[in-house]
Amino acid sequence: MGTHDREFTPDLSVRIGGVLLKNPVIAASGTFGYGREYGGLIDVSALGGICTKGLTLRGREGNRGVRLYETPSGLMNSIGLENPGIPSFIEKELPPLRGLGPAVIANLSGESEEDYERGAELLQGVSVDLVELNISCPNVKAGGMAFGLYPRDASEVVRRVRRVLQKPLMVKLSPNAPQLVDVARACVDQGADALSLVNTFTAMAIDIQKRKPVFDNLSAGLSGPAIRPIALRMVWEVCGAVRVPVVGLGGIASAQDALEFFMAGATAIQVGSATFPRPSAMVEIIDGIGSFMRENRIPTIRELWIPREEL
Amino acid sequence: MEQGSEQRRFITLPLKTIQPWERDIFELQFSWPGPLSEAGQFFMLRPQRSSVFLGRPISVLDHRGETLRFLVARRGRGTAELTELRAGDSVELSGPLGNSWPREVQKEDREPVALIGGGIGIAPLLFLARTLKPKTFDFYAGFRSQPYGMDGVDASRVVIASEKGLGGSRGTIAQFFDPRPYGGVYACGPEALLKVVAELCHRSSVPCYVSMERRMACGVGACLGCTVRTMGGNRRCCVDGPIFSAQEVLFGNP
Repeated sequence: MGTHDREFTPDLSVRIGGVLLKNPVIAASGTFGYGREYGGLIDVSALGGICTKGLTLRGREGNRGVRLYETPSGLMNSIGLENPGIPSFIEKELPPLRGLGPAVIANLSGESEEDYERGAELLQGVSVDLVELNISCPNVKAGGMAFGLYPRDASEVVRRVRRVLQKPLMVKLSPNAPQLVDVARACVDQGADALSLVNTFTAMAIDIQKRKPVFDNLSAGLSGPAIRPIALRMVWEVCGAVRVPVVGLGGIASAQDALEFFMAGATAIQVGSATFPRPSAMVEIIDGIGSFMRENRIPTIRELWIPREEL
Repeated sequence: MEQGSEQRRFITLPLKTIQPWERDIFELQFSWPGPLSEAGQFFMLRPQRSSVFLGRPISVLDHRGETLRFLVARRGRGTAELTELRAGDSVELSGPLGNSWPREVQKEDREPVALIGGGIGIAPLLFLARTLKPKTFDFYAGFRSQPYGMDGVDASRVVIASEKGLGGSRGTIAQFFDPRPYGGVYACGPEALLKVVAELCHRSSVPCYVSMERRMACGVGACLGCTVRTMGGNRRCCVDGPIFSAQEVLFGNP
């Protein structure tokens, strides 16, 4: 690289629902706790944003039985939204999370529309930058993904939350929806400022020695590099159908992976499972995106997009 | 339990040496430039070239200066990869993680303590034994077949048991253990062993600490995958443990 190139400084910042992120790399919900857990292992302040573990109005113990199961290039989980409840999050976890630097994104889940609405009311009053509405958790019996499979259910919960939430609202979609683009459109129609996709795929494992399913809930959510090409195809399709910012996720583990999602039209990306084996993954992705943009003299994330009319 | 300090690092290092101790049991040694470990802590270990997705939580066998040693039992694919490494291969290490063996029962004016290890579970106890004053503790070690690792242990008494009686008595180690003479008990091994030891100690009102094992993804308390059920609710094996007061743990189905 010559001096000429070094003078070129790409702008990695992006806006999601009016919130400025210093770079487009966000820690995915459920993989980064409440932000402090990885202290010492990586420079957490370097991240663009942090999504909290899925929060519910009342605390949840989560699921019994096996919660993790490794697969080729991936990981199944059945945590079951274990969390201390929104009031406890606000009191104990939010102040230190706020102090870390990255944008704070509260991931909101619920068992009923009322739960989502009341949770949104609580988050409206506190210092979170963005609310990510989780209508895509596959590991709870009531609520979660049940709201994200069909446009009508998604519309209703987004409408109720939008009514009480003035903060920017991002809706996290499930790849298990039979017509994902229709669900995406329904969320935007009800006022979603952004979409994030994809959450985990429902999947299964069987213990052949015990002759029974590994997970008490039978199915669990699959994440990791195994799902990345499918997630990319879904992000491409949704980006072609809506005009709000799309945050892409699903198996992203390197800057190359992330760049594919930007080229598909994503405004930002989230990294989840890749942080587990490699805590430095997100920091390396931020550096790698910057290097690619410098080398190719691409000034902004937006200009990574592949123009659809050229295809 | 002693809370682990926030001093931990993620570093990729060449494996310095690897040597077999026994069939399927290997010692891995690194020159670790990061923070010093305390007895009972663990690292997440993953070969840089790996066909498995996650690292594996491995207890520290010993840590002096920069010399960091682990004992790995070849069990599944992840540990098989670790035992097949050669000196010079790159390994990704995160640590030291988790809490450490508590110190309050090790005061010199107290009764001796007992260390009870089952199989590969002896590793964090060998580290503990090295930090204790010689001859102030008894070490009970149970093995499926050939015993290993007990040669340099400077205990008042070493009791070894195995299924076939190799190198010691025949039977399970809990059969040879009576908690009553001890001021405290430290145990690590299969959960069935820990449960028996915990019950024996409870009956005799002897403080007992157990190092629990769980499958882990993050190792730092973020993913909530390694739940240990306790009287006080769910705890994370990786950061609230791996060492728990035995009376708190609800053994059995997680």
